[in-house]
Amino acid sequence: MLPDFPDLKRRVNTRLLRFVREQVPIVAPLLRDVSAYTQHEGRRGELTRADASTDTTLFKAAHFRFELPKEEMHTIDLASLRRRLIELAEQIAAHQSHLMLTRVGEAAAAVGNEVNVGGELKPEHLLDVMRKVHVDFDPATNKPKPGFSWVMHPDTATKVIAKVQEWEKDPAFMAELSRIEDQQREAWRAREARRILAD
Amino acid sequence: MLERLVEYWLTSVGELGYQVPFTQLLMAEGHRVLQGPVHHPFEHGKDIITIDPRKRLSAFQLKGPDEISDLKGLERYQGQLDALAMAAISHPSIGAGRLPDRVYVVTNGVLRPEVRDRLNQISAGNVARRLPPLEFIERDHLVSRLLAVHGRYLPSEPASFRRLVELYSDDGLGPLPTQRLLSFLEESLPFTGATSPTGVQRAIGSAALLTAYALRGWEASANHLAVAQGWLVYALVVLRLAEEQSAPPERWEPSFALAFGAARAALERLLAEASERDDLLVPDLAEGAFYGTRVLLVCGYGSALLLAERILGEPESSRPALTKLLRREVKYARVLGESGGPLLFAIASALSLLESSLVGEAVIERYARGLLLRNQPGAKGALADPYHPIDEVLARSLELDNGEQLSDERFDGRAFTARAAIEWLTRRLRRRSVASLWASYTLLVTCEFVPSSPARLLTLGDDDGRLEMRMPKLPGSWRDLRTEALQLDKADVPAVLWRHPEMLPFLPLLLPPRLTASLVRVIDYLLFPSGDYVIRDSVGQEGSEPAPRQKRPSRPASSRSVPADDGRAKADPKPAKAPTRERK
Repeated sequence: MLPDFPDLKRRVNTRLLRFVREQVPIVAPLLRDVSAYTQHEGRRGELTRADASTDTTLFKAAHFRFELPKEEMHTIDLASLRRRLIELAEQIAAHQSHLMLTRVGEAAAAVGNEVNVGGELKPEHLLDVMRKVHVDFDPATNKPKPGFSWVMHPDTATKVIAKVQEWEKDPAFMAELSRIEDQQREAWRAREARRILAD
Repeated sequence: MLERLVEYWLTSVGELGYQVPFTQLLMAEGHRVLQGPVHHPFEHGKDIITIDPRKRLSAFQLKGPDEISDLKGLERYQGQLDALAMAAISHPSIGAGRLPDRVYVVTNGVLRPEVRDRLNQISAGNVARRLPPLEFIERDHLVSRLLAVHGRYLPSEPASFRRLVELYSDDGLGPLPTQRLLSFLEESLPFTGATSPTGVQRAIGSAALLTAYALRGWEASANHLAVAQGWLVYALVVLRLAEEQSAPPERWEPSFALAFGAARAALERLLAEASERDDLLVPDLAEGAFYGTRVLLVCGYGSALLLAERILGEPESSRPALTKLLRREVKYARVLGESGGPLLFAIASALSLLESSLVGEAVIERYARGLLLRNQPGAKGALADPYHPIDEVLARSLELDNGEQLSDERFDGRAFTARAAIEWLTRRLRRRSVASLWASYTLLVTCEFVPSSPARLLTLGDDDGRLEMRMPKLPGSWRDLRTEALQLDKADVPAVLWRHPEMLPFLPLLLPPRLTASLVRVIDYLLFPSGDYVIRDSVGQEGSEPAPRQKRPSRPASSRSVPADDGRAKADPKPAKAPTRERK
């Protein structure tokens, strides 16, 4: 056989794969605040929520393609390889984002927690969304906890943001928004008050 | 090659290092072992007593490689050699006043010609006095007999052989890689397909020898904890094989007992050394970063030994040394990851037995509080899950290379040992403590792995099992919590563990992810029996009542004399007793 460096290669491969994992939330900021855990054993996970509802997680294999032609292998250095590996991170990020939004959509639809705009987006649609989302608050500031994200196509976002900026000039709209936040805060307080051990 | 491996192993270990494989060899040759390797003032020169295949009562005195190699050495042990042949055997299954039929002096060294001659003459003198003849077995005999019986079971796969050689060549100064040893032994035993009882027995015997080879360096370095862990890992593998193959007890129990005895002896030596010292320091510039972990390991395993003795209902010989050790050191114990949790549970239970229930409860309450705080969602520096062994989390805390793997994982927002801790306190009626922990507890997802079969509790890497994740109820109910904490299903642990519950305190120490609320319930039930438990047998094993074997049962948790912290006086009118309520 030809002389080789299997141990060093194993170590550098580990580091490169870690680099790919680290890139995923960078190329897809939506994933940054989503907790990801490693399940070391078993092909199934069962979650029982506080309200006794359950959910089963079955792991699905995902495949991504990354090609490094032989010609490049002759000379490519680590810095260039890292740049190329960002492509792989983008594939993973796209897959994870799609999977997450699909699961979230399914879960929301299953309990009817969705707002159907039907045509043009109106202020009441947005207010309806704000009433239905789950919001947690920072106990120190009483402000909503950061991490709230709107996910939409860039073209849609351009239109929606312009509309919302217009609505924000309407005192009645802002008053209703404020009232909803107060309601959400009360709902959060009620939830937190249930974190006790009763008889 | 194999001959050299066995020979070098025999050269490098002392008497303690080869006594288990030698006993295993005798069993493989058809001896029935009446008394395994013992070292106490009542042995009267007889380390091992057996009935050989020709029904002759045989006694063996084992010596290390240099102890009797010359006449000067031999003469030092003349008294023991006399007792070996002249003192009657003291064993419940043998009539009083009975002398052995054959006596042997065994050494893993090479005897000088004059020593052989002296032994021959002693033997002739014995015969003339109507005493049993004295025979001797030395290294070359041992090598050929070990190879004849076990040689064919040595690993033939290169990867497995390499694993053995890696373990074999370790200097034994560091921790034993228990997972590597476990995987190696599992590869060496017939876990797939049905195997005849004889096949199971042979494989188990050979695995004992492989374990002894693998532990060579740790045995030679007198690394007592590693030696104990090694034999406990072997005992665990034997139990799993017995469970999966439904092997008759007579095929595996002698080997299990031998290994458990060896582990116990090693832990007794560890406790003796640790308690006799002023501290557990191994001086080094960076010692401060390691001390708390060493304390946790030594105190944890020492505590598990006491718990095993308590479960067996045997004299608690570890009690004085452990009491001294815990009083001096437990304040320094440091848990860096959830893999340290099981050690702390063992310490807390031991403190409950040695000091008071309150002292033990304080340990678990502090652990639970720390774990819940450290692992809150979004918290930095959450304790790693129990799949990461102690040396890995230690490396992570020291920012060393082999801890890098951990930096890829998130541990905040969940905990594996929290539920067991909350239940532990609940069984002891620490309602105020639990209530004060509840808010932070509800912000975590508690995780526990449920193996696909009871036998899989005795190993890791069960693909068919499932991870159970639970978000505590809002609001929680003390009544429900207490009901759940006192429910026990016999099927939660394999039948072999009900048969050998002394292994239970060690199981989560060897396999930290196996510390679940249900396992801790079983251990708690055996150590602190109470009529409050509701026992269920979901596999219908009626008639195999696993009543605790304690001679001195503790009072039930709810009848403690100390005031419970829920503000109400607690006095259970029922006396401590074995379970009374069985629900089908």
